[in-house]
Amino acid sequence: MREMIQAIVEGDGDKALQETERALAQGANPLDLVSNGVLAAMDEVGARWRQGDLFIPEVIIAAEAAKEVMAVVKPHLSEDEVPTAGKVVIGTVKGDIHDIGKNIVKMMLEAGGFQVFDLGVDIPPEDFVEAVTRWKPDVLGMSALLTVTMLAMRDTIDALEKAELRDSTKVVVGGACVTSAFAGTIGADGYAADAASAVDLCRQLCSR
Amino acid sequence: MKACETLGIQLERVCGEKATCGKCKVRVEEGFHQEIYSSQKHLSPMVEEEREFFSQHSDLTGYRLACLARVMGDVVIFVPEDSRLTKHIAWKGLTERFVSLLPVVRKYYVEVPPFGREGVGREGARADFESLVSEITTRFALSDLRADHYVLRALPSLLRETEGKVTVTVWMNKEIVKIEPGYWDVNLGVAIDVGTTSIAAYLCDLVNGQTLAAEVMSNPQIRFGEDVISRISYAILAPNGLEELQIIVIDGLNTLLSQVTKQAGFQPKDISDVCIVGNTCMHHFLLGLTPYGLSRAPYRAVVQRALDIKARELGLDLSPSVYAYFLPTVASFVGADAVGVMLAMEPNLEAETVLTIDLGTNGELILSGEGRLLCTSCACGPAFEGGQVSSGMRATAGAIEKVRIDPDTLEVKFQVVGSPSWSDGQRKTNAKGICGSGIIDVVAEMLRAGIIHADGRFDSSISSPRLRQTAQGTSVFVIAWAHETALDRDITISNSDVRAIQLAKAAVYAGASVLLRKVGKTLPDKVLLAGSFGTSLDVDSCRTIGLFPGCDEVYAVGNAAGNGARLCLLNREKRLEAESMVQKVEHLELAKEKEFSRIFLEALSLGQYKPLASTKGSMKDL
Ligand code: B1M
Repeated sequence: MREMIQAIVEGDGDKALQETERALAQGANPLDLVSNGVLAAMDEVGARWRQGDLFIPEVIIAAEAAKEVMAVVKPHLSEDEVPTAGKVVIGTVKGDIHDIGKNIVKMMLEAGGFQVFDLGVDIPPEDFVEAVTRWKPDVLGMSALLTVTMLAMRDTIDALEKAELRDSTKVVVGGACVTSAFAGTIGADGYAADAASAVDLCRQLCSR
Repeated sequence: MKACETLGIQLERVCGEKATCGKCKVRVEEGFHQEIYSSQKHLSPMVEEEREFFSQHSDLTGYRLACLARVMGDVVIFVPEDSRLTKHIAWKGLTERFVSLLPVVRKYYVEVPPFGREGVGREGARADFESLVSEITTRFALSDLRADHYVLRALPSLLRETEGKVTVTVWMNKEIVKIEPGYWDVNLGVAIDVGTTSIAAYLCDLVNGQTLAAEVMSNPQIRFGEDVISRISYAILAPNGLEELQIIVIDGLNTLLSQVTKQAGFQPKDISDVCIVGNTCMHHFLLGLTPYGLSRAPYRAVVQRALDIKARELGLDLSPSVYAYFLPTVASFVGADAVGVMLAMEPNLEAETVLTIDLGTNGELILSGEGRLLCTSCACGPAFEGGQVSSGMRATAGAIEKVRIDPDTLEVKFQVVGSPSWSDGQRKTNAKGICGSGIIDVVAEMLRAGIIHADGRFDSSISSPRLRQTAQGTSVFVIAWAHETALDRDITISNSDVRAIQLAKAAVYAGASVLLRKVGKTLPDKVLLAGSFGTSLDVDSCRTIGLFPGCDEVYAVGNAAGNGARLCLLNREKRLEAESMVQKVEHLELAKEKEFSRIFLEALSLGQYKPLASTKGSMKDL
């Protein structure tokens, strides 16, 4: 399993798959492969990213490798064993089309076992509300990179409140211009500075 | 911050008072200082943002951020060198170009008969203005001349004092904009480039086409934030914000105009024509137009076409009836400055594929080739101007602008703005930080020396006193030891500084690639680097980090935007050319280009472009 983790962290998808298949053939516990393998690998990716050792492209490739491993392991898990850390609806707010950061958050969440519904970019509050009504996620994630679009996050939270959905959904915000102080002012449940922290935060919020 | 400013000390505020840059840090002295009892407690308590900043900068205990701390009692404040906003030094040369002289303003000397020695003549009953006009139109090929009431008000006494001998300045063959006593053939125009960071003015002699003087100042609006978005926020959110921003930039221009005319032995009132370029946001601020539409999708400007505005209406201290010409803009983020660049480069005349890059917080890219003219803007972030970089600063006094690293010993030598000699590891210099060109040099040299890898990671196997780990486990590399600087600490480059450069350069690279693809190319034949920043860059370093799709022919062309404005001053046909160019140019919005993100992600790696060996083309999904 160490090899598999190593391969994911290094972004070597082919090797990660080989190692996974080998482990499965040797009778490894598929659930164990997920929680102590893939998820552990992604934790390491997050840690090394924060240390400055890995950067965006490497992280994407690692997340991609993790996703492939998941796809191979999944059929070996029984229905109720398939880990769903939680459901997340995510999107970039109205007026903003920056989506690279949001997409990375999405990939990391998926690699971390979350089910993610991605609404895309330039999403007005009504559409966030509609998606929350439809999918009943544990967490609603909003991304904004422009100082001027940040306020759309507050509008969305207001809209959620109006639709009486605020209590059933946690709100997480992020993006280069957002700060934890700002997240506090608009009444979000959390702020994440990077995608790895976003995964940790969502885990925390879902386990509460 | 207000208190400092009242006392005449301008502070840096790169982030526009968002408590992220920390450039306005000041230290509170504790205890008695000349009968003043100063204490930390006499400032407002730290708010969340400030605490957050200092929790990440443990080396700054005792400091506060001037943008947030409010004065509640007596305090003595120490303002460190690097927190002060200093006078801007930037390259201000102007590549001279050939252009035929055909200014919009021309001077005509006339002697109006009734005021001459022959006394009251046949036309004695005519009004002053009509007498003047009749004399001009009979002597020169002009007709239907008009004038505004400022000219009329000054006319009677001028004619009487000079016995009718005056020099008349006529604008566009149709309006008298100035009347001067006697024979005065000096005809001056000024070309102004209002940049987000600095403003340049070029005084031109419209009789012989020579540039008589040039001056640069930093844009006084910087106090309201480094990037245009912060200033737009201020203009929209603060009461009278827009007015304040307009007044402050016009005041700046007035200072600049008196400096530039003085340099050549003249006065602002001698100027008879003004041409202005600037990005769309600066253009709006100068005109007092709301930037609201520029700040959010669909990014709509108030006006795009060229404008002739009376200089007095802008608040410029010139002769009151003189006009200022604003070049047209292309789009919200491709302004009149880019039009100036296009005009100056005459890109449509070149047969080869030429990529012109004007770098700043917002990079403007222009591509000409295959019979087409394309442009776009790419948001690259403030890293090239020293923002978002731990030791970053603008290209002012004390900025390290050139860096060399010996690949064997990892020893560093650097050059500081305004001093021609390299550091020697011992001597004290006035270094306070690193500006954009220095940062690009550092990253390129670190890459060449193997201190960082192409993916931007620091090589952990290297051992050198210059390479060290911070408490958070990240790495920093020392560029200047404390004893070599004007500060009491080392000037370093951190891992996240390298990351900021990677983001910025990837944005430029990807924007350029998208443009090239539109004309069916992958590489340009020629790259032109415009702007003062482009001129100070080391071309090899740019190539090393892979700032743009590689090519052998790379030239720095100086302030091409200012040069475009100058061309419009010298030749009125250039104005028409500019106006037709904005009709012709194809503006590309990168946000709508599907392949941008993929190329951006691939271009994050340093060095010349190599597509990433991704597992199953995962980048395509992004
Ligand atoms: C749900 O919970 C969470 C939790 C964490 C979350 C989260 C959500 N979302 C993000 N995170 C966090 O996790 C991610 C991974 O760790 C991180 O995401 P980030 O997005 O921060 O990081 C990404 C992984 C990498 N970073 C990025 O992708 C952004 C990089 C920069 C260079 C940038 C890019 C690439 C682009 N841009 Co734009 N752009 C800039 C950026 C400058 C810079 N150097 O940072 C920035 C953000 N842009 C800016 C601007 C002004 C603009 N951009 C614009 C356009 C573009 C491009 C199209 C060219 C392109 C976007 C492509 C795309 N599809 O996303 C325009 C606006 C378009 C619009 N309507 O939104 C335009 C208005 C200007 C223009 N020239 O047209 C600036 C904003 C300034 C401000 N103060 O608001 C800017 C800082 C550059 C600058 N000029 O200073 C974290 O923030």
